[in-house]
Amino acid sequence: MTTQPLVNPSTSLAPALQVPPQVVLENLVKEYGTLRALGGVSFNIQPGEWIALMGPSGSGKTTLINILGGLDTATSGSVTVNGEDVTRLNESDLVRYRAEKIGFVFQQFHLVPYLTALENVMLAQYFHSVTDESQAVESLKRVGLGDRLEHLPSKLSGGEQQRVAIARALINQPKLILADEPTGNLDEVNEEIVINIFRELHQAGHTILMVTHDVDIARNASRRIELTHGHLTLDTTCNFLEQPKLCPHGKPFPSSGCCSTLDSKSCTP
Amino acid sequence: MSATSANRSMFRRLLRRLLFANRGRLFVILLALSAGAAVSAALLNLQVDAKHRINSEFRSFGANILVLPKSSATSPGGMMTEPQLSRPGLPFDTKISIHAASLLYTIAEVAPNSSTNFLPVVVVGYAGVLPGSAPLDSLSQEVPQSSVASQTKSCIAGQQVAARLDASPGDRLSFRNGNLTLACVLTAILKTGGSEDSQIFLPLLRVQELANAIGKISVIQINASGTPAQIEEYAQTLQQRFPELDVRPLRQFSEAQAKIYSRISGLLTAATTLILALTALCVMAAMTNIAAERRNDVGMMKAIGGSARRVLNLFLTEAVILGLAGGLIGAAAGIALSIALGKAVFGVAAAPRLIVYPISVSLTVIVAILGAYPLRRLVNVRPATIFRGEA
Repeated sequence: MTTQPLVNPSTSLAPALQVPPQVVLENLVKEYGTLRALGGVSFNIQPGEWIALMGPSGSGKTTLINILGGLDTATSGSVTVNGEDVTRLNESDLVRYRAEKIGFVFQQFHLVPYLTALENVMLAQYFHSVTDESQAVESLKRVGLGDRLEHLPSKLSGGEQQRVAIARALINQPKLILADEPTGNLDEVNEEIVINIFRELHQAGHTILMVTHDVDIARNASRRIELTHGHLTLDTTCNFLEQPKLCPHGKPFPSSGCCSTLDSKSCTP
Repeated sequence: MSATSANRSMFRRLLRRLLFANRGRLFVILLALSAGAAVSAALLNLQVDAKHRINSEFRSFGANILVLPKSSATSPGGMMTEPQLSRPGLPFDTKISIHAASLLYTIAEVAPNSSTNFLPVVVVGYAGVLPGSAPLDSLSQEVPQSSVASQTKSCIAGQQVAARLDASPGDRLSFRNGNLTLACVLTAILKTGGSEDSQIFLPLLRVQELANAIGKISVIQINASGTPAQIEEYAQTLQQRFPELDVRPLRQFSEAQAKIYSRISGLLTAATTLILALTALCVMAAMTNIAAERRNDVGMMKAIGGSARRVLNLFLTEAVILGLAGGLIGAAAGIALSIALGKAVFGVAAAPRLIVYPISVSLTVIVAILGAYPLRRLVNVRPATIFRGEA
């Protein structure tokens, strides 16, 4: 299976530290009754970053990504995306925000089962503004599904369904791609195909926040954030492939095997 | 392709997919809506037909307004001058249908054929057209003659008087009233079960000559077909125009009409409402299953920017299409069904009433929209709660 490049590599943009952050989370708290899913999380995301959001189950990763994507509301704190505080948006503004600024990729794909691959992509166009079939076809061709346009999701493999979901997420050219364990339901071959697509998106300058439990996948990210019990316990830009398994003081770092600390500078070799 | 037409095309595409996503379920919903529409259309058709039929049946009984001379002081002999109701401006220009006949009653001696055994009989001069009086209407078709007393013309005898005279159709009857005489050929025997059975009917002009009362009549019988209120209003208008006459609506007759229709109408309306309510519940049960199936789809649609309004538009349009299809199929079947039901209820087939068709289809569409309530609730859920599996 080969996929066409999503962009011309020459147009790829590297994250620029000088530019204002694309996303600013400040003291984000989310409570479900007496359960505190997020206990005051704060961090920034620069344009073009690929962040791997990690942590054990129940640590608040999906809650964070849902609030950031306008699918859920915060109990307190703020989430500013491109200068707009998402926590203050009303329902109709949130609909517009999701349609225009966010591209979602879910672990369960969440394709409409009675729509073809092409129609699933066009559905996002329809809710955004105007449907353009040729653009939707082109989008599916980019993820290697040019010959699966009229297939229903039930006739596609898991990897193909996820690629349809990626094409749907990208069709409206969102500023931020939120992926919740996008390879969680895929075999190794399809996982590689999907991750390659994300690599190309990253090279093209897209900002990606990806929830994952897989360290190998997280190594593709330019930065890694880890949550534990709703608190930020790790925020690092260290390169997984080049980092020692042990910290300088000889103790392994919890769950990641990386020696980094919250201060990414201390990871510098 | 313009933006609007592109989105319309996508909207139609989505609708088609929604409708045919599960053909078995589509069939069940269509069946429920069609069955509901069929029964409700049949009952509505019977209801409308019953109104026409009752009016028609009652109308055949004769007059429901009588116009009489006000008193014997102003109208000697209980007669009135006929032209009073023929003058211009007579309020027959009304929205309800009016039929009228002028009658003159007198007593004359009658003998059959060449018999000299004359018997006193009530002789009625008749002119006009009254529903249910078809045999008598033929008397009005005779051309009035300036002097007809000596001519042989047709007449109709009531069953009892014909028996008394031992007369049968084709016999010649002779009449005398003092010096005045006339003759006629008995053309028919009338059997009503009422006072008409002991009367002989002749053209009005002949009886006027026999009674020496040219231009006079005893009563005008009017049959007004309409609601009791319309008939009452018409009688009042007549009375105001002709204060010298006594206009008497036969109220008990109109109220009987209204009472019977009201009972039938109430029964059919209640049955129709019940059927439609049951249909809505059936559709709602099916839609509840659909809502459960589409929960994730709705969450996803909202997650990728679908507003509640746009998602709701899709579902409601789907319900309207189902209602329209079910209504069109069911209403057509229902009108056919009402013909059979009419035979069972009235003993005669109900006539198809076209007004029932759009009403029945509209009611079915409303039922389909009401039945889609579970889908309407679905669009208010938050995507995150659906993805978490809470909703």
